[in-house]
Amino acid sequence: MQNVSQNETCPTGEADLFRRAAEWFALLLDESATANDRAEFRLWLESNPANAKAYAELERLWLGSSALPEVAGSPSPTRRRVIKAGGALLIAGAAGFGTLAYLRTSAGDYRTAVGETARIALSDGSTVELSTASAISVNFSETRRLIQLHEGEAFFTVAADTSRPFVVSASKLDTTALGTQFSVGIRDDAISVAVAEHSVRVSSPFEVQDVFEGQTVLFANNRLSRPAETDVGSQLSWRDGKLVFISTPFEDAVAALAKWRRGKMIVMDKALARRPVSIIVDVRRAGKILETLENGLPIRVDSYSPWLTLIYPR
Amino acid sequence: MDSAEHPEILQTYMGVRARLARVIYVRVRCSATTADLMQDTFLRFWEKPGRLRDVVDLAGYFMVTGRNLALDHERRRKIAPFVDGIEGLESISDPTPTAEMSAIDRQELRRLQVALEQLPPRAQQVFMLSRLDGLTYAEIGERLGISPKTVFGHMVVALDRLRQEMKTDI
Repeated sequence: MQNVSQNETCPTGEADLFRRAAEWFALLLDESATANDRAEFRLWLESNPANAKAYAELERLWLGSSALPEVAGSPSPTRRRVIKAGGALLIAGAAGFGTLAYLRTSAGDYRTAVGETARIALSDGSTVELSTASAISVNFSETRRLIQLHEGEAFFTVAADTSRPFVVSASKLDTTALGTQFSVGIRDDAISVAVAEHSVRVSSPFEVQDVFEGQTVLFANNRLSRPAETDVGSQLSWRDGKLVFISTPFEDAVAALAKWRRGKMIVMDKALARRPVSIIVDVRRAGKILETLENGLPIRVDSYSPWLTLIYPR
Repeated sequence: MDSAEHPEILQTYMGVRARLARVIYVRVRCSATTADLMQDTFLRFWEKPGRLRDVVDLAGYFMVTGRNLALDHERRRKIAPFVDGIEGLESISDPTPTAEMSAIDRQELRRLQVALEQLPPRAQQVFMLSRLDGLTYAEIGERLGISPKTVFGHMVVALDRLRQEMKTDI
């Protein structure tokens, strides 16, 4: 059990008393608190009536804070924001994604682990949805809203603000939006930008290209592809906890799924690897991914360890 | 706005009811308490729909709220015998969950939000993972790569700072 200071010291001032109250509160908050801790807590309460008062104040704050994050009346009530203030906080995810999976490593930095997703509300009213194993930094100034995508993929719903362009920077590629929905993803050898609503302007050091709703561009080997009409909806289906593959070469589907579970998956047959498959996989349950594949496709799966799975045609 | 949001709240609640019941029951292990806490979860939203206006994932918020109410209920139930008869702590032994609904007012809540944002990053993270995500110190430690004891230390800092911030400009 955590170590609440046990020495018998009479609190010298209010600050000490409150500090001690905070220690007791924190101790009893956790499931690791024992009956013995609670009995000692009783003694502490009895030793000074002011102790109970300090504790009651913390109890009140704790109960009240269950209503956090406070969603204050925003200037534009139609904007669906999660939180008003400078910090960003996450509410969504519990239903869809099992855990509220995000780690705020330092101010403005967000990261998800393998198999996790997160929704982050930014101070300007925009939201970011992080896909599996993704990381971004948020850097807002008076003139520009800059997001750096370090790895993985993120989907942005940008709140309109004509005075401050919203720029997502991934390696050498900048994607600029004024108010729209789009995703930027870093793959092994390429960066992809998919637009779900309106348009964005994609710029590399060498060229600039406007990309419109329903289109995707790839940036690889310092070159931008032409915008291609793609099924942006299924491409972005990870936002609902599902990956949808439609006539996708099996090896590409496996590569996409590999990002959602730990361990390596290898397709052992060349013809199988190239065979187009259509399947919907629920990635919220990483442990079931293989089962889904095996049930839905003519394949056989051999897992040698949690870290290595070989896939054969059946 | 209120009446417009109500159908959505009711509909969402009906949709998550079964899951909500499971999440609460595994923590309180009592059907009657589960029913109470479910009702309380619903009333929180029903009576203060403004709170939900900006929430993107209503179902998720329902689940989080229900689970946190269950956790709080369990915590207080365990402490209750030890605070019995202590002046000022009667509310802890009061089993009616609705007692906490009016714990702090809206203005205080905003100040609490500001205070939370000003906490040292680790203390803030620990507080949020505990309060909002309902994680134990061991689980938080695992996520942040620190020991449960260090998590405890950050929690003390968070609670103490929040309390100070709330007090200063009263």
